[in-house]
Amino acid sequence: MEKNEKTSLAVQLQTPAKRMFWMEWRGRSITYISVWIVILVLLSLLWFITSKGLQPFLNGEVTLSQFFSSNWNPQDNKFGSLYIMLGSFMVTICATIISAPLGISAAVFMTEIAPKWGKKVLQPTTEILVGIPSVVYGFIGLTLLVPFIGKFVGGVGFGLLAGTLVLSIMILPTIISISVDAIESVPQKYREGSYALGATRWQTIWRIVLKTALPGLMTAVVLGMARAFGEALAVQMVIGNVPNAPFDFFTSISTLTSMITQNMGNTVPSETFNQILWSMGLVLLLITLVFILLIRFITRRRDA
Amino acid sequence: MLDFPFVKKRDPELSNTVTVETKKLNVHYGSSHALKNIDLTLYEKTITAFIGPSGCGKSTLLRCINRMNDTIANAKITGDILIDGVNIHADTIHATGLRKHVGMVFQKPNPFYKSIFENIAFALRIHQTPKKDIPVIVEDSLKRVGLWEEVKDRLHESALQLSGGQQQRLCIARTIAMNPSIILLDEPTSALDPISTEKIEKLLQTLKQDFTIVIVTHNMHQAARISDYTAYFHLGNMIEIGHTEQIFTTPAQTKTEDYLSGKFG
Repeated sequence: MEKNEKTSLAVQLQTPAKRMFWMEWRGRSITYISVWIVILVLLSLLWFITSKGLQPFLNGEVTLSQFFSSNWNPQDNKFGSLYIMLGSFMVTICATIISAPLGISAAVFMTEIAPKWGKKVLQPTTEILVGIPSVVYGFIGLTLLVPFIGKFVGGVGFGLLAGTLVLSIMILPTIISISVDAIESVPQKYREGSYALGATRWQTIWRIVLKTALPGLMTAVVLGMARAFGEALAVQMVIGNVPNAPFDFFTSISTLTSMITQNMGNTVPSETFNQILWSMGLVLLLITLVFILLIRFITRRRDA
Repeated sequence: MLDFPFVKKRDPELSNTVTVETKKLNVHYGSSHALKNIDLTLYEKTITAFIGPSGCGKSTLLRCINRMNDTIANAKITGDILIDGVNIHADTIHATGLRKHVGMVFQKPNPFYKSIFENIAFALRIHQTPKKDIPVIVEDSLKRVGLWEEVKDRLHESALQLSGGQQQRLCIARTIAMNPSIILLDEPTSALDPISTEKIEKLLQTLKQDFTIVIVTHNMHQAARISDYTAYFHLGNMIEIGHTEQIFTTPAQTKTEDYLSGKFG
C-alpha cells in the first residue's frame, strides 16, 4: 500500500488557511484592545476620584468626623456634610416609596392584565419617559410643581417634596421596564399550574408570579434608587439648595449631587471647598457601588 | 389481531357511574377545527387514556374538561360537557371552583418557586382550608404519592431541587390535596426517566381507587399497561373508544389498527 499518496482532501486538510488565521487574530485583537481600554478608563476614573476625594483628609484640612458632622459653613471652613448626605438618602427613599408600588403595578398591568394594549401603548410611553432629558423634568418641576406646592401645600415650594415628586417620575420608567422583564421571565408553566389548582388571576399574580419574579423586581427597585441617588440636574432645580436638616418636606435642602453641580463652577481647585466636592463625589461613588453589590446579592438565586 | 403482551386485562368490576359526558363537543382555535363532534363518556374511578398522533386534539379535549381553554383568547367551544350531570359552562359554575374538582397535572413538572410544603399549602390556602388542617393534609398527600419518606426532613427547602420524577409526584400531591373527583394528566411521564415513569404508573393504579383519572399519552404502550379505557383520536375526531384490552387486541376501526400496528404516527 502506497503510504505517501495524497488525496485532494488530505492536501486540503494539511494546508493551513492563512486567511482564516489572520481573521481570527484580527477579531481577537479588536475585542482585547476594546476591553483593555474600558478597564483602563474605569480604573483611572476610580483612582482619580478616590485620590481627589481623600485629599482634604490626607492634607489634614478637614477631619473625617468634621466631614460627617452637620456643621456646614464653607466661609468658616466648616464642611460638615451630614445633612447633605441625608438629603440624598431622603429624596431617594421617598421617591422609591412612591415609585416602587406604582411601577410594579404598572408592570403587572402591562404583562398580565392587558398584554396587547400594554405592549402597544404603555411600552412606547415608558420608553419616551426614559428619553426625556433630566433638565426638562427639572424645568417642569420648577415651573409647575414648585409654585403649586408653595401656593397650595406649604413652604416656598422648593424642598424635599418637590425633589421627591420629580425624582419619583424620573425613576418610574426604569422600575417599570425592568419589572416588566422580570415578570415576563416567569415561566408560563407556573401560571398554568396555578390556574389548574383553581387559583384566580389575582391569586396567581400575587402569590406565584410576583413571588417568582421577586429578585428581578428588587433589582428594578434598587436600580431605580441608584438612578435617583445619582440624579443631579433636575433635583438641583427644585430642591432649594440650602443644607438644612432634611426631615421636613417643605424646607429647602441639599443633596450631594445638587451641591456638586451648584458649586463646582464657583470654586477653584486649590480651595478646600472644591476638594470637599470631590469627597462628596467619592461618597456618591461608594454608595452606588453598594447599590450594585446589593443587586448582585439579590439576583444570586438562593436555590438550585 | 394486534400483539400487545402487556395489555391490561379487562376488569369486570368497573363502575357504571358516569362522571364526565361530552355531547357534540366542538372546539375551534381561530380557523382551525381542533375537535369535531366528540361524544365521550368517562366512568367513575377508572383510568381512561387518550392516544393518537400529535395534533389529534387529545390535549385539547383534556383541557376542555377543566376549562383551561378559557385562558386562550381565540378558542371557541360549542356543545356540552357534563360533570355528574352538571353543565360546566353554566353561568353558575366558576372555572376556579370547577378546577378544584378537576385537577390537572402537566407534561413538564411545574412545582412553584416555593418550598415543598408551600407548594401543597398554596393549593389549600386558595381554597380557604382552615390553617390548622394544612400540615395534616400536606403530610397525607405526600404519603399518598409516596414522597413523604423522601422529603419529610426537607419540607421547607425549595421544591426545585427535587428530581424530575419527584417534582412530578409533588405536582400530583398538590392536586390530590384539594380532594378533587377527577384528575387530568397531560403526558405526565414524557419528560421523565423509565424508573420515575414506573413509579407514577403504579401510583395511578392506587389513585384510581379514589379518583377518576384521564391520561393523555404519546406512548401507546403506557396506555395499554395502565388504562381501563382507551380512546383513539385522529385529526380532531374521536375514532374509537372502548375497553383497553379490546382496543389493543381487536380494534373496530381500521384507522385505530393502522396506528397501533405502527403503520403511521
